Amino acid sequence: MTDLTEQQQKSIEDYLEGRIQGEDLLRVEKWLEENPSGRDYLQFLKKLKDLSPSASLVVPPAHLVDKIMDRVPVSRRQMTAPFPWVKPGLALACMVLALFAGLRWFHSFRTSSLDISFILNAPGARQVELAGDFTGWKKISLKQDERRWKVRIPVSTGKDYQYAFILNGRVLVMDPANDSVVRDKHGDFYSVLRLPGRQTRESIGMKQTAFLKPMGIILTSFLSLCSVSSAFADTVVSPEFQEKFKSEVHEAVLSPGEARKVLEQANRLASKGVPEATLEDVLHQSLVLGKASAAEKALNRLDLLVSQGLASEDAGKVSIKEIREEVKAIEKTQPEDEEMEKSLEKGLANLPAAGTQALTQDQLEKKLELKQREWEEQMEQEKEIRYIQHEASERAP
Amino acid sequence: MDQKPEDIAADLADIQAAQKGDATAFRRLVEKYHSYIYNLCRRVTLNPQDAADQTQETFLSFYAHLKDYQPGLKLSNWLYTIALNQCRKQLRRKKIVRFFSLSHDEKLHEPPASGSSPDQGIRRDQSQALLDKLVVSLPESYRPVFILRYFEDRTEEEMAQILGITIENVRVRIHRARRLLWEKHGSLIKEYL
Repeated sequence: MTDLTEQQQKSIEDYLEGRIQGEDLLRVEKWLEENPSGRDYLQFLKKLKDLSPSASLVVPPAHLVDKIMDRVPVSRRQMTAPFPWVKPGLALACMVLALFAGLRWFHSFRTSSLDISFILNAPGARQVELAGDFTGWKKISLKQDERRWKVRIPVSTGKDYQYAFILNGRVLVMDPANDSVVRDKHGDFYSVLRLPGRQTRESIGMKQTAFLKPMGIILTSFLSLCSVSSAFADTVVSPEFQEKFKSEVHEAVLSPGEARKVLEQANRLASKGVPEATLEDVLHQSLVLGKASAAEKALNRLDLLVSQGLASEDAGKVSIKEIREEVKAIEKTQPEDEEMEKSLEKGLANLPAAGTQALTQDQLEKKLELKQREWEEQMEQEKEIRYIQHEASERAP
Repeated sequence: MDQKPEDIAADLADIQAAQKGDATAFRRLVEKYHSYIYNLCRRVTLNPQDAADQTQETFLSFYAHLKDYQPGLKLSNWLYTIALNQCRKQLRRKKIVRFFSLSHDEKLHEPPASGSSPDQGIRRDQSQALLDKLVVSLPESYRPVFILRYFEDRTEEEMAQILGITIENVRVRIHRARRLLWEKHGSLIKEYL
């Protein structure tokens, strides 16, 4: 039954339906005479056509009409929508509610303030204060909690803030846990707190969880310490040395940048053939002083002595001795109240060298006043800019 | 087909009356067309019970969307469109049920039994039986077009309108249905000849 092509079948169907005329008609008729299977298909189609008139209607089941009419809600039809405005009204109300909720949510990101904990590890200090843009450069006291000094204050987001700690009322010190530093136009270093606006709390390294939120700065300082370990990526020194170095860095509270610098130097010396034990000694002795600059100096001295032909062990001893003497000399040049000096030394033991300045009371007050004025000027400028922008947007069509 | 030429004007008047809530006008329409719809459904679903159900659904749907009726159309064609859609839904539902049920429902593929069904009393001749057999052997997608062509005697234009497809598509479907039947039952029809 399948010896006809689809095209042939279609032609036969068209022939039967009277859709073929003229020369084509003759050709199809001639083809049909020659092909018995074509004739068979034509017969089949004709039979199908003949069958159809004989198809009679089957009587539907009784009461079908009644069943249909029972289910048609004719009498209730007018009642289906008594209050046509109810649905759109409800939808509108929902939309307005959703809009308000959305705006509130969005607003909470734009203008929210975060509670930030400022923590300084200075067990020897008598008094630790905090001053910054967010306090208008007025001093805020930190509370001592065993070794640490802490304060938690709300800071509104959307700005970068400069700040510094003040030790014993006259030593300006940067936040050792904060890696971002700025040098102002007077050449002084300050830590920078970046709180971008319109962003989630995650973007500044804080989880949105209520439990973690107050841990803000602790978390960031932890993260910055973690980044020290990334500095070990391409080193020559052994893993044991690295481990020891990490703990030294942790105790001396170096910033990641300083740690990296010191390690790079140690690496260079190790590649020159200086034994790790010597390096360890030098670093340990100089880092106990709590100053990255001391370590750097010691390593530089070591480098010089080794290149001058001295045996590396002797060179190590010499450089340690020198660095100790140097530090002592610095301490002697600043003879002040002895008790205060002692406590300061203890407090400073954990602080980075750069950005730590011992000042007199007057100098400090003047500095803070200067910063306060600068901050006020900056705010004034921002206000002006905002006003100009506002005016421009009003003038625009 | 013993269908009288439709009185389009009378149907339209009844539809408008029904729209205003006139139950008797709607009943007139149901009485006039329900047996055609029932027969169509019976042939598509191959099951008298389903056919009765789908006839009810067709008229309910027709009533719910009375205002959508386009006055230019034959009411029977309008109803056929609704009925075929309802039947398609029903077949799909059954297919899903069949897919998930463990026992295969063979009855679905049998032509309606003449003894037990409401078709009692109507003597069905040989050609009727043959046509039923042909319909049963067709896949569901070609069944409506075949039924409209050979049972309801609709023109290609009308078929296109009812099924919502183009005339070319109608021709293709009829051709494929014929081809299938020719391959499956060609010899049977030859014998019948």
